Amino acid sequence: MIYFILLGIMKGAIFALAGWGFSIILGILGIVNFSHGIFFILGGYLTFTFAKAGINPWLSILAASSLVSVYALAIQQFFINRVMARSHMMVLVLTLGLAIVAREAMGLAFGYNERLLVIEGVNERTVALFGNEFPVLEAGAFVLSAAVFGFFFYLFRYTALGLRLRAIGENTEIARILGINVRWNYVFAMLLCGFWTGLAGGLTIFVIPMDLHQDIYWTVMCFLVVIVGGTGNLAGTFISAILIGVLLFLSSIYARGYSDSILYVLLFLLMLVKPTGLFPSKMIVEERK
Amino acid sequence: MTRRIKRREFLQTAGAAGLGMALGNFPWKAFGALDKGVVHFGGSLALTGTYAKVAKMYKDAYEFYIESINNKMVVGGRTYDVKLTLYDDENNPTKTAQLTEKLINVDKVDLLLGAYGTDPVLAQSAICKKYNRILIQGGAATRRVDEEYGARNTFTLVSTGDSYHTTLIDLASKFNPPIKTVGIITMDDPVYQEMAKAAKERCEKEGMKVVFEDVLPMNTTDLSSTVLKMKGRQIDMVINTGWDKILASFVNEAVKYKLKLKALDGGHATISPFLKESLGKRMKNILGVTFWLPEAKTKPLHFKDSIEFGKKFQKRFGYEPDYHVALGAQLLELYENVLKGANPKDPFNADAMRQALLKTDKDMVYGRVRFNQKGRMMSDMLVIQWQGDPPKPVIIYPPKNAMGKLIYPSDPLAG
Repeated sequence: MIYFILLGIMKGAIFALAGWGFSIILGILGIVNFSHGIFFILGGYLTFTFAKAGINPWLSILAASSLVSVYALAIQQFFINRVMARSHMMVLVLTLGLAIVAREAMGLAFGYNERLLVIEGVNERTVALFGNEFPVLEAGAFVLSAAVFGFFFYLFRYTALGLRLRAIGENTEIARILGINVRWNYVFAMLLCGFWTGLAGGLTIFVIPMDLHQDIYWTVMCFLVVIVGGTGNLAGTFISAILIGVLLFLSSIYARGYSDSILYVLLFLLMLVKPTGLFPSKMIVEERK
Repeated sequence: MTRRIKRREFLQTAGAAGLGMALGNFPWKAFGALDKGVVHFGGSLALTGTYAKVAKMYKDAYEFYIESINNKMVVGGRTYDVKLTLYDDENNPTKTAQLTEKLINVDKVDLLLGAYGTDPVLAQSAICKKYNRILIQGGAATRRVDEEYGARNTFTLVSTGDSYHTTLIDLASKFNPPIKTVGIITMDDPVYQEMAKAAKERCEKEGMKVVFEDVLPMNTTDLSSTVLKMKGRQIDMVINTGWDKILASFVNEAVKYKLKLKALDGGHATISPFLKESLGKRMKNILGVTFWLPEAKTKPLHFKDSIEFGKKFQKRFGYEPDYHVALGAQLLELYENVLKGANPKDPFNADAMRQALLKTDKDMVYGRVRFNQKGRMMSDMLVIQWQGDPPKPVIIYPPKNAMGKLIYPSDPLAG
């Protein structure tokens, strides 16, 4: 049981890596990005393409994540910026539409086949701990997500940039009056979101087969992670991702077929008891002026 | 005042009336398109969405076949141009039904090509029944098609799901060292569960004990928990009745967690291009079943054999054809075969086509095509094993199609 819990924690780390971008965009830009899952899938497909072209797999992940961050920035500059000031509903519809267009464009560019990246000496590598085998990739994802959390913690708590981003998240208008360049900080937030989500996709393509239609699943899972953790709270996102990872993995072991039902029943109960999520933050949409 | 009708006038009137009646009864509708010198095919496929990759194979197969016959087809002894109208049904049965109605009533197609997926094919069959049209399909394996529409309107070119693994299980029952225990992975879908149930019954009939079963939700992509549950149990052979994605994840996780098996039946999707591209060397020694491979040396009407068909297709579309491509081509080839000798006055008469299809027994691109009384093609699956370096699918059974011999004992997770 402890072994399975540890494996679940490692699997949850991927949700955290993918979820932080969603949380940052929700907290700072104040929008729900329904094309978030596309960043994840694009990261995976680009990693696959680069690695199959002979590029080192780790460099492939980095290159893919960088390109995803450029894509994220592009959709923000060309589409989201134009409607986000008007209505959140318009952003929802816009990003949903962008996801559909991106999915079909990726189908044309990459083909409609699924992808799973298998590289000798990478996928099958395990490490023995406490008498059990742990997959190095998933363990690495956990270590990375802990490091990324440390990075975000430092960034938002101790740097001037983090302070500006938090200020924008708290109240965009006052931040603007105080002389903060909101647009420029949005750019930074979007680059961060694209990079880490793309990286999560790049790691995941070594672990599970990916297809173009999984973007919906990943958008919903990231949304869920952020809601459970408390919108705009990065520590909450991390903890809720780990909890959801453990829950899904344990239910796939002990109650296969009921994983989703268990998850959504618990979410429903949580919303009844604590609708702000486990660790609510002030950086939430409803409080934005 | 009365006037007697002259004999000549009577004959003229009777002749005109007779001609009128004859013309009235003449099947002009059947010549709606043929009047213009065109035989019009129509269908819908999930050209976007989850099944887009399979739909593309069917679409490519249709185009390839039409190109290979130079856009001409003989119907009732006369040569006509071929026209194809294809819509995107998004794998939505309601949309499939609407599009089928449109194809019949608005586009006035002469012949219908089957959709892909159980529900779309059932929807399409219902519309064909309403308009008394024949439908040849290869997209739904479920017995429901036979029970509700089989041979009345719908003819099916794939075996029922419950027979998919029979040949391989029979073969595995003779393996030495023997397969004593089996684990079955399936998906939470009636068709896949039908396959799993039949595989289980066959294993037990052949003296192999099914000691593990895992029914996966349809959105499952991570098989690590399945592999971990298998560890510690003595399982000699695993049978996958699910998708290729399931097999890919299973192999990835089984190698990672060092699962030991004597044999692995990857299922009917074992030859998918995705598996070859993703798993590569790891496909070595994995067994599977398929309806068709180019190397099965079937006899297409317009190619020397299926190898030539496969090569030309690959040259044209850039990928190796699998059984979906052969199925797509077979739909058109079968219509062509039936229409060649059709009554030129009413070539698309449903009753006549039904009888002709039931009488068909001919080697074609997809193999020997013959139907049972339920309109289901009678065929045995080919058993393949991935062999060589880099591994390729090799037909090992039945002997008449075999290209090589089974390699056993061989570790299916050592690649």
